[in-house]
Amino acid sequence: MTITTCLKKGVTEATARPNLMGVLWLFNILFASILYFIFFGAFDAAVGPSLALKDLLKTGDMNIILETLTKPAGPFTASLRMAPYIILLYFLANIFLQGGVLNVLIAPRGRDKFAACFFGGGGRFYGRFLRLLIYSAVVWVPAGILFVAVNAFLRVLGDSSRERQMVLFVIIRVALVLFLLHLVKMVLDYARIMIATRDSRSVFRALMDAVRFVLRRLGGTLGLYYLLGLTGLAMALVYLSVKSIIGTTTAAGILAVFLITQVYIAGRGWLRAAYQTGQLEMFTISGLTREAKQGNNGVKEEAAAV
Amino acid sequence: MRKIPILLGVVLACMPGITSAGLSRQVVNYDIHVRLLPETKTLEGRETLLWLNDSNTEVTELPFHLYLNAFKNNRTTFMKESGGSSRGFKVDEANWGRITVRSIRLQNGPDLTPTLVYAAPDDGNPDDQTVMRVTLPAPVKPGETAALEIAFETKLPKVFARSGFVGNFFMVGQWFPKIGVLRDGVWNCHQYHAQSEFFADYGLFTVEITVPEAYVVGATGRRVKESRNADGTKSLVYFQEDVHDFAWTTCPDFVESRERFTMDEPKVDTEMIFLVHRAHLGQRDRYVRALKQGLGFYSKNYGAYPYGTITLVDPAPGGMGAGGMEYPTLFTAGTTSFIPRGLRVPEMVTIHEFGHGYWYGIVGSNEFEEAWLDEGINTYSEIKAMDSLYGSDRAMIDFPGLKIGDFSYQRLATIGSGRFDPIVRKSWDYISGSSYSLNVYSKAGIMLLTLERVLGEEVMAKVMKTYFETWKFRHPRTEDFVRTAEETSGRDLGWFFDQVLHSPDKLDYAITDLRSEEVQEPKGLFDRKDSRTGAANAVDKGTAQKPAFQNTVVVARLGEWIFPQEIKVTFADGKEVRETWDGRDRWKKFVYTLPVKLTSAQVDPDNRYLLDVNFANNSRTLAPTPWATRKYALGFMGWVQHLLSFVTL
Repeated sequence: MTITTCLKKGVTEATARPNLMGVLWLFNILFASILYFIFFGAFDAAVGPSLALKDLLKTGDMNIILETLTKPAGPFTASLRMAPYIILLYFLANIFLQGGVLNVLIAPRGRDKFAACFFGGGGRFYGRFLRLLIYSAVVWVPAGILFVAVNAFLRVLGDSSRERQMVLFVIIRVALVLFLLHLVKMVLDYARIMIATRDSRSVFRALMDAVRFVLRRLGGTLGLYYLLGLTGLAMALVYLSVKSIIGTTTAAGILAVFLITQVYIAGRGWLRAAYQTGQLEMFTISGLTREAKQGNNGVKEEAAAV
Repeated sequence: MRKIPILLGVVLACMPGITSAGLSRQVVNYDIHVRLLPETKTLEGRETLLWLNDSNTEVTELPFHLYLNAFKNNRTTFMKESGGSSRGFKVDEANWGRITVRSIRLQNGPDLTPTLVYAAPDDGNPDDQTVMRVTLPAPVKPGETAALEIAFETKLPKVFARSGFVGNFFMVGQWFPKIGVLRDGVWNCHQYHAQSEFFADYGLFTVEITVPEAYVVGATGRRVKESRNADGTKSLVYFQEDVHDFAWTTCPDFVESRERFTMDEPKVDTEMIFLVHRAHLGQRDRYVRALKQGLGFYSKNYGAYPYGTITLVDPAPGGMGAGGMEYPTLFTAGTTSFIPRGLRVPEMVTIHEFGHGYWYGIVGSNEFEEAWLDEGINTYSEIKAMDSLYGSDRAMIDFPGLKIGDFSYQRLATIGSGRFDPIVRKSWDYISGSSYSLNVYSKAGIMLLTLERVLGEEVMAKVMKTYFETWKFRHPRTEDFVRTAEETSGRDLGWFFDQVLHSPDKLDYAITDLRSEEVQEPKGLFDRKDSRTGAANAVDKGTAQKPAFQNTVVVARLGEWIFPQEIKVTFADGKEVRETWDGRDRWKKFVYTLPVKLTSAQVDPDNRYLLDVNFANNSRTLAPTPWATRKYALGFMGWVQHLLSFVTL
């Protein structure tokens, strides 16, 4: 029941806050568009004036695509060179977004101006969430050790002449990596909720509380996480199906696919808000509401000051 | 031991004399008895070799390949060059391989073992024992035959490069002492290198293989006898003439099946034998289909498959180091249980390795010294077969949204082939393993496709058929292929082959400038003759003219190879002009002053030169298609957006 309640709450609250979805989409496209311009420039220089471009629009001549993509100074390599910096910058910006999203979600709906609440939260929690990222090593390291141990065990058991077993082991490894990634990510989500709702500066304590919280309610927290994950999967399937039926041989088709992609990316923003709201609800429903209330009071005071 | 007289009887009944009329000049006649000891991964063998001195030179010593000594330690030439890995598979240091010659003697003559020395003719490596030599007590004169008896023991390595074992699967290749090739009076017997394959003379092979009863066996040639032994083993005798090597495989988990392949034109009747490992039975239909297609394609396009059998071996799981390898009338393919149907690796490997039955097996070029003659010609044949059988846009990868043909795949490798090595070079002299394979396989294959476009498909088909017919069961060199191409086509192709075979450079022509500018009306002072007085006057305006455009096309040679070029220039009124250029200078400018603008120009408009490493710069237009660039840039941005939202969700 708790999971359904949290899921329902997450979906309702996220839907009620389109601004949140919009700002997340805006950040996403802002960063991605830097790579768009780099790619566009390099691609245009390589193929732009060529007659081959006509074929590329209609059929997608693989010879031209492959030679362009693999060229040492081609669009792909130029973009790839920049990509790590963009991802790093986005990652840092994302810490700001996390603060903004949580601040909007914990504030009573409609009380404060969205921009003030979002950007205020982003700024207020930035340092704490950054520290949380550093402290998260204490969670990542045991997860890594667990993976290495399981991997070593599978290696001992593995027999390269038993092909099905090897494939099964690969599946187990991938599943374990994904599970651990999601678990740690979920712990960090709850740690951030605790920091924000308590307005606490005890980041490490929040992290430890979050570990305890998740481990004590493993079924509930994981259930909520994967149910929302299923929602995301359904969205992705719809997106891919719609995209696959649109031809991209005309300007209209290209624009349509671009717009659908943006709707989907905005949808991912909505899903993110739903995750946070659902998890916030899970946290609130649990017996830790006392601290949460204290945190809320802090936020209210802060919001009143803003 | 007791079976020897029976075996010899069988063999003598079905084999001609050493130089009698087979399809090939039968220089060697091997009669080998080998027993597999699965527990110790060793082979115990006895070999009788009749060797014909087919040259005009007296011979006083005989060199032999002992290939498996390449896996004896980490200091052999193979191991030093390869770093102990081959095609991604690593040596198992707990399971080295070797071949030991216990004795070698002349039949009814003296023991030559004391004269046995190891030689390293290519690099002088004292730790390499892949070539041995014995000295004869008396020379073998031209036309004479030497008969030798050799006892040997072979320890198979854990398979990572062609030969060896994994579990109870054994791929037994290059496993017996094999005599070198006496060519133009000089022995050709190279060491085993990381980037080289093999070379040997044609002849007859009769091999008796003894394995535990439960083991399924496949081998070069046809099985002529099978018997069960009291010790729980069985012995199988295989015979094949007109081949230059003998390989075999065994594994209790092989599932053997046989199908007949027949064809009327040309006449082919052969038995396809499939040895598919139990783990891969779900992939069997892919092998069967591809082998049938390969047999049909090669027989139709090059010449009838001449042997009575062809055996496809599917290596056991974990034994892929043995996969993708050719031997006469037998080859190893390779797959995994879960490889999707849209990824046509099993088909490509099957067609490629079967194809080596032609380019290496039947046309026996020297793989050590001129590997392109088998790998390059076979890559060309493979591309043609794969693209025609499975579709040129999807032969290799065929998934929704991602399709790649074999030509595109090989061309990509050609583009990346560097500028270090030419196509013709001794295999171990390439700067790296990747340079060897990119040049010898892909670049040589694309080179022949280019030649096909230069000569025309029909003429090229004649060239290939003539080359096959002329050189089957012989040892052609590069110049023999070139001569065949020139004689068949009636064209001097020196300009082509001299560059593409012997120079490491690249082909790249481009339209580097395209302009169409309105010719300005004359302004300023011009000297004009007065029509009445004939005196020169300075006037301030030229005669009135219709609007005209100065259209300029600049074609440049960006690579080093010089190919004659055709340039197609298209104008706004739809008219086209075709220009020719010998392609020698670094650039050539074409100017047209016309009342219309030009719209585009294209060098090599018929796309003949597939070796060109940059197709995109072959053309230029004044009316570009910006939405194509947007399409790909927006597509790329979409991927980035997904990535960003994934890493932060």
